[in-house]
Amino acid sequence: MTDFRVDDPPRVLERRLPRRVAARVSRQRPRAFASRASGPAAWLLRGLLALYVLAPFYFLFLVSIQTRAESLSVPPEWFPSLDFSNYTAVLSRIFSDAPATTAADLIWPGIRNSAVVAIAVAVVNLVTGATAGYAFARFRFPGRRVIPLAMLGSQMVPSFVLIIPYYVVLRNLGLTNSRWGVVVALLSITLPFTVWLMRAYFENIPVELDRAARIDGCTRTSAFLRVILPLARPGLISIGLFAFMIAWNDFLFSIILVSDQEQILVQPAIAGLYNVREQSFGIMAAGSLLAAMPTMVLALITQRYLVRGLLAGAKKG
Amino acid sequence: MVDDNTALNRRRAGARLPWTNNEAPEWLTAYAYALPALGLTILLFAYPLAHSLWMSLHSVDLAGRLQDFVGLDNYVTVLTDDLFLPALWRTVRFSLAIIVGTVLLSIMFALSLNDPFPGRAVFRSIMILPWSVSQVMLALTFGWIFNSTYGPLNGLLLEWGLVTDYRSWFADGTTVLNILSFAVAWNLVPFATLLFTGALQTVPDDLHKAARIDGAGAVARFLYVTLPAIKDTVLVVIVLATLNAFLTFAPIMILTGGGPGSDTTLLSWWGYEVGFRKFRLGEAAAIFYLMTVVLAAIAIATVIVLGRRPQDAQT
Repeated sequence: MTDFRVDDPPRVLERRLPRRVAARVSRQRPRAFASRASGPAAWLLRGLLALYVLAPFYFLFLVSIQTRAESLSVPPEWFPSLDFSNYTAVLSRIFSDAPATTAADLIWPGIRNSAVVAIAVAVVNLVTGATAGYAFARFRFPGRRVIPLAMLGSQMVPSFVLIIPYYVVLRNLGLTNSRWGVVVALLSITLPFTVWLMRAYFENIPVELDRAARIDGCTRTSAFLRVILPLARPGLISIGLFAFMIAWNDFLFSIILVSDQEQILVQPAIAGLYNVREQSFGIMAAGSLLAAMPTMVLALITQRYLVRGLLAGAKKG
Repeated sequence: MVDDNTALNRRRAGARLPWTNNEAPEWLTAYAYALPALGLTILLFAYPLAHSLWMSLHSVDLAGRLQDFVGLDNYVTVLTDDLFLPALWRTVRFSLAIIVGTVLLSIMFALSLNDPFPGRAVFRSIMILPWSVSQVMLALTFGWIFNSTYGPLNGLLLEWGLVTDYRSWFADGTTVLNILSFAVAWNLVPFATLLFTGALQTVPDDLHKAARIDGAGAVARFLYVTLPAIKDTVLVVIVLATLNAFLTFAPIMILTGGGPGSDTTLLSWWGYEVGFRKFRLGEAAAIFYLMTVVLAAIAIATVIVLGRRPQDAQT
């Protein structure tokens, strides 16, 4: 990202101003220009922001590494005892084939099933979304303007409207209790946005590159595959991640379309951990932090792509 | 910058890419490229959307089979239900709280991140974290923080002497709704802040300088220079916040079940209850369609009010 240059001198202005005014302007320059909080106020805001973002995570993390007794102490213990038994309780299921008996036993199967679902959703989005985005960005054909707009508009349709037909149709087809039913349902809410974003992304790549490739003897398809697609890699990364995150974090479809314990997905699995009566808050915190780990790590690593990719789409919106 | 290419490309879109005679016509190739995504979208999105509308006009049995065509009966049943108006009003109030809170907080935070300072990159990275977690995680996190017996918030308040007795946060409907809107806003604000920091960098410095020379104070400069320049992002954030507010579901299901009483029964939760607890699928489809209409109305109103540009008004 390009940063603002604060010390960019307003020379042109100064030259035309009376000396007294110009002097005042120069004197004030270090205090920067409007709409920037600076000095102590800015640091106060930044501190608040850090607290606002991190405190909830800290509270959850804190209870996840406390013993059960500590987590149930009144008033709360503010420092952890570094007890990792909650994590080992959840992760021990990796090596166990015994049938699940508690809600915590379902976390690992949930993570495994959701990994399959989310990767499948991301891959289909990438393959079909990228080619369609290219078509809408480059080719002239009836519908090249209207269809992407309709796809953007579809983002305003709440997924609740789709859940009833999906529930009915998938049950008639015998596809409830299958991860693939959820994959299909998630494609419906991710794909239109993917096409829109990819189109925006391809439109930012100069059309001269296509021309040059064609003149050098590429067919349309090889120009797309060999020249444009590699250039669009940041866009592809952001839509792939985006689709993965939506699939991983989905609760609505996952809980309505899957009722079989074998096929449980990650969000319903961690939702099952909230059990005020059992008071197993440590397990709840550890399980949900583990379940959030993949999206958190991916988002941290690729923060830049995510924001830029979304902004590219937003600017056209 | 990349954006300049867009305009160029748009202008040149009239000029065809060179092509030779042994290639298929351009429109055919185009449809071949677009077909997988287009076909999937029609099959998986447009068809269910139409099917849902069709269902809302029928009486539907427990298994989801369509019975008789009843016209708008399902809508009449829903609209005259005692729960409808309160649920709608609650949803609108809930959304407004989230929208206003998100826009104000994120602009404020974005301004504080606008100047370079040590640690800025780290800040920007951690800001993506709340946005990357699911609604379920939100529910669990805030359910724990506000837990009335063991939760850290009551502990902190007591330790700082702000309360003398533990408060049970989930007993009062209004408080619960506030907690839920705070949770949703927590999810949105850091992400919106990132969008605003991006937008603030496009505000022309010269305009600020000129405004200063004209004697504009900090507030006036924000209102007349910064705000118009980031208006598009404000629009995006409002639409994003509205959508997220309307789609709030997991926290209600996990934490409140629509209660106490029906104090946290938003449209989304009400539709779910009617459809998947009482299995009145036709009415549920009607509720969700009404929800879509309200959402679309808000989005269109936002775009009309904020989307107008000064130059549009002149031409």
